Amino acid sequence: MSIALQLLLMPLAAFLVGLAMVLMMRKVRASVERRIGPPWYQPLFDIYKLFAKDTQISHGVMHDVAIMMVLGGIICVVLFLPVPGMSGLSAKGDLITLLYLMMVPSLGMALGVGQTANPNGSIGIARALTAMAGYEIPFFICVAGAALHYGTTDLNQILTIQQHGGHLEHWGIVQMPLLAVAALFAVHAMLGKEPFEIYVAPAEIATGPMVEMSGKYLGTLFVMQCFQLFTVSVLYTTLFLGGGFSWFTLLLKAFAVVFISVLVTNVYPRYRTDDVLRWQWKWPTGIALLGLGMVMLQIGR
Amino acid sequence: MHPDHYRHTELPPSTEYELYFGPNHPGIEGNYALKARLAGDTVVALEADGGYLHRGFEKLMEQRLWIQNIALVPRICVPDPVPMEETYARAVETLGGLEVPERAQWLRMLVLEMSRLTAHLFYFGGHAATVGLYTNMFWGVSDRDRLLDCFEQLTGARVYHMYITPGGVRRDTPPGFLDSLSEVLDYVEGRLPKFDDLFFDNAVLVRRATGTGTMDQAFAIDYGVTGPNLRATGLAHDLRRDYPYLKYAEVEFDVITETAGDAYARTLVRRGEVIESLRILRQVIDKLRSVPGPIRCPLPNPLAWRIPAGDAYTRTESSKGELAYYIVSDGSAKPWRVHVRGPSQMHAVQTLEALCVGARIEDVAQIMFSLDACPPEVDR
Repeated sequence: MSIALQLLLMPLAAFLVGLAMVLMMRKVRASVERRIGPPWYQPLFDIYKLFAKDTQISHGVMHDVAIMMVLGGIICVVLFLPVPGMSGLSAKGDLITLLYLMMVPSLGMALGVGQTANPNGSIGIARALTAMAGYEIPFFICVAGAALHYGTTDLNQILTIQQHGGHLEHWGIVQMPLLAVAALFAVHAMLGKEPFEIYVAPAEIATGPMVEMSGKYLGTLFVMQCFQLFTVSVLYTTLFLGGGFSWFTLLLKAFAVVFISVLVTNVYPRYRTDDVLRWQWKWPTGIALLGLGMVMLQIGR
Repeated sequence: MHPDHYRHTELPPSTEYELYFGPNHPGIEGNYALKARLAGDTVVALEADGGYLHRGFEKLMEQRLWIQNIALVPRICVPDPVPMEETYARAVETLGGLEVPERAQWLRMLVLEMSRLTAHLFYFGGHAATVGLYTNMFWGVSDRDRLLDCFEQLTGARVYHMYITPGGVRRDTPPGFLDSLSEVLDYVEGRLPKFDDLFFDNAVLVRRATGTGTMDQAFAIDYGVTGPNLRATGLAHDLRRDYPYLKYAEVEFDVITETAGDAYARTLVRRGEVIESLRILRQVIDKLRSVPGPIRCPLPNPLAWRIPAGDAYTRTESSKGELAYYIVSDGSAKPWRVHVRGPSQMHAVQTLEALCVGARIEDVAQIMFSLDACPPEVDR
């Protein structure tokens, strides 16, 4: 498949899978909450509805540019994430590039929301960046541990190592269980789910960064959420669950990652901001450091 | 507002800023607003801002016939409307010298405790939603719906029942009602352990609610705090036991107290009261199976009903605290003056303003919901 076609198909596939993940989240949530939940086409209709709305208010150039930065950043991430049959730009950039690009949407949000001058939005962004400081540290330790273990930061090689012989014992979760557990906690926080959902917090800061986002802006954030669910779950699958030999196995694993997160989020309230930091720096970071130590010991032998 | 229209204003240097909670805000209860002054994440001052309901219940009541007000009073507190009906009806009965039949008194107790149950289930959901536990909100609302089904069966209405009238109640129990209500009560009791797992024993909730919005007993008395909020400070004060009305003196129940005085204690008191309400309701159901009789005393033509001149002060233990009506009659067909003493007047204004000072922005909504404030009781 030509690279041009891949660059077209990869975001499209990511978007569609992300939509399905949003639907699954809603259905699981509804089930736990003893509701029926929406029909299967609801996420798509929501996006259509939001993009069909006229934008009444713009908060200036940066507000408009930032929203494109959010979407552009997350699409770039998808292009660097290899999936079955398509490696995209993954040969041109490694895990470090991917992690760097994953921060772009958050920074875009910070710029755009800052322009709106809404205190709820500003508090939300401050909280989002604080939460990032909480989960990025354990996540970076996990990624560093994984890179040390595999001896490379090339995602294609990481997949090849794990899929060698088709045996489970090569998977990252078997080789580095502590790092896999710590990364799962960090991924949950990265998705902004309870108990780490501090930057939307409707009852506290009236949805925070989204408070000034309506119509097409909100629609763009919805699309970004689809991409985010895909990238985070597929990245975790790539690092620890052996990726996918086919789209079927990849999606099975990626949906399982999101499913675990959804189950947890529905039975916990949100922490206070400082508790998020305390928890992330205590448990996932502690477990990740232990995992990193074990990886270094293995390498030393 | 477009940035071109922003007005540049020179203000003195400050580390503080203002943040509006409401009147349109997911963290506000009803038509109400709070204006917070913050330094970082800490509330320096908070000002309660009512006046968004635009109804003026008290003055409306003074423009209507005595009997017409039955349709108005439940609207003063949507989550717990029955105590409004009871307190108003008892005031009219006191002024008019009406004797409520025994069966009607038991029926009133039945709907009063059913209303308390629905209000507390609603509260569990509301409190949980302020800290992001939406599952509990849906559980609370769906379980409350079972009780609303019973209300519909008994009164024909789900929320504004207009069931209690001066002199008695509107309808007797339909066939099979007491059995179906008993089943719902068993169901609600069976749900409590699940609420415990999800909400009351949830480690994150315990961490967030413990020590939040704490008041001691002296503060509570000074600020006019009543009901479960007062009992959460350790004072076993309950009008149903201390100044019994209807047939409360004839049923057994405990007054639930906690001592911590924080948001978590207030929630635990309400959890205990759900169990006590179930206990009272089962006793009332037993009584209703055996107590015969009329369900209201004879009333004159309601359109030409003149109540003798005088004044009456009646009070009821609602799910939120001490609810009272002071009504003055000049002998005409309408009340001359009505004053509603809603417990939320004290809880949602001065108590909330005081408890939020020094609290963090994360906890403002939680403090308000833990006080179970009902803004129409303020804006009446």
